[in-house]
Amino acid sequence: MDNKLQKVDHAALRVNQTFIISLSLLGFIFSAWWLPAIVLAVMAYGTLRKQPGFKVIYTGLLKPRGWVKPDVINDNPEPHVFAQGFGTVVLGIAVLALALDAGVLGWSLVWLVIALASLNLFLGFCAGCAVYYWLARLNVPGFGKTAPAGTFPGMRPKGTSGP
Amino acid sequence: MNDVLARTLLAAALIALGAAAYWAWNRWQLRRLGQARGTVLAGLENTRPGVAAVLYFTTPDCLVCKTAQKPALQRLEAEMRGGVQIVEIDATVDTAVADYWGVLSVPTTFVIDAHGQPRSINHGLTSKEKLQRQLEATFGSPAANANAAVELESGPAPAEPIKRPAGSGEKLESKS
Repeated sequence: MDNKLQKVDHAALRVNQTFIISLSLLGFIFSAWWLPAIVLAVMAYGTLRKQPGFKVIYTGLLKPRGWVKPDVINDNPEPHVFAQGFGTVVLGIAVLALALDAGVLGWSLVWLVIALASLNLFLGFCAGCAVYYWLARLNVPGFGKTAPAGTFPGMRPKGTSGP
Repeated sequence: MNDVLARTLLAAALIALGAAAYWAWNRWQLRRLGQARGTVLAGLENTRPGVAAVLYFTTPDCLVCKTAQKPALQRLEAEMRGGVQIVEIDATVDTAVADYWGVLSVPTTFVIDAHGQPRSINHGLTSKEKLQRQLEATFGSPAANANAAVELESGPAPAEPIKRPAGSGEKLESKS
């Protein structure tokens, strides 16, 4: 198990979640399956790059203009990448279902992604991160990080004044 | 067009459901904390009795706490001239107190009435105006009103918020 924490900008994560929620919601309202498909592509790209998919909007637009302030805290980045990957898989199944005209299943899964992203954005609980830490406790290979000290697995760390 | 309207209504209903669940969860938190009626809750040991308070959880890394939440609380304290006391808690130091209050993120503020009972929870940045409204709602009871009036007449409150000494939150048993 590895307890070494890194600086993670939670503002970038929140921007990512905001875009995932907004675009998926708009996709549902306008019955436009291509909107969740775009979200899927961005999330997949982000997961491969091990960063929040919509990070470029944060670093290129929102942060330089001061519209969103950085919120850097000591945390593990890996569970967040895993959570995004988990969301990508769910959204992938959703988009596939929508493409195959299975609307109820597809939009239900889109709503699941919206709900989990909202849970993270508004309450600070990352369900995918909780799954990651649970797998780490089961010693599953590739899941080596433990939750920051004093933090419930999956909850947003309250912040640590580390080095 | 009707389809878009129906989907918008459905989305609104689902969002309302989520908001209702969030509201219910907050009420449950307040109810849980309020069950210790007649005792001093963890984190409030150093407060002046009979005066409403805002319990403010922050961390050294929290930028929005420094730039927005703390100034809002300072303005609130100055405007209410002794009618409220601010209790600032570092959630990274007093982790046990933060857990006791169910703090998930910072800033989080709790509005405490003059009897020491939590009345409102605010997750995230909260404006001075909102906190003021929540505090004024606690002045509904005659006893709380009288206490607030006494405080207003007795002059301004301390300029600095009450800060708990590091590690003092480890003992969580409520004190009589």
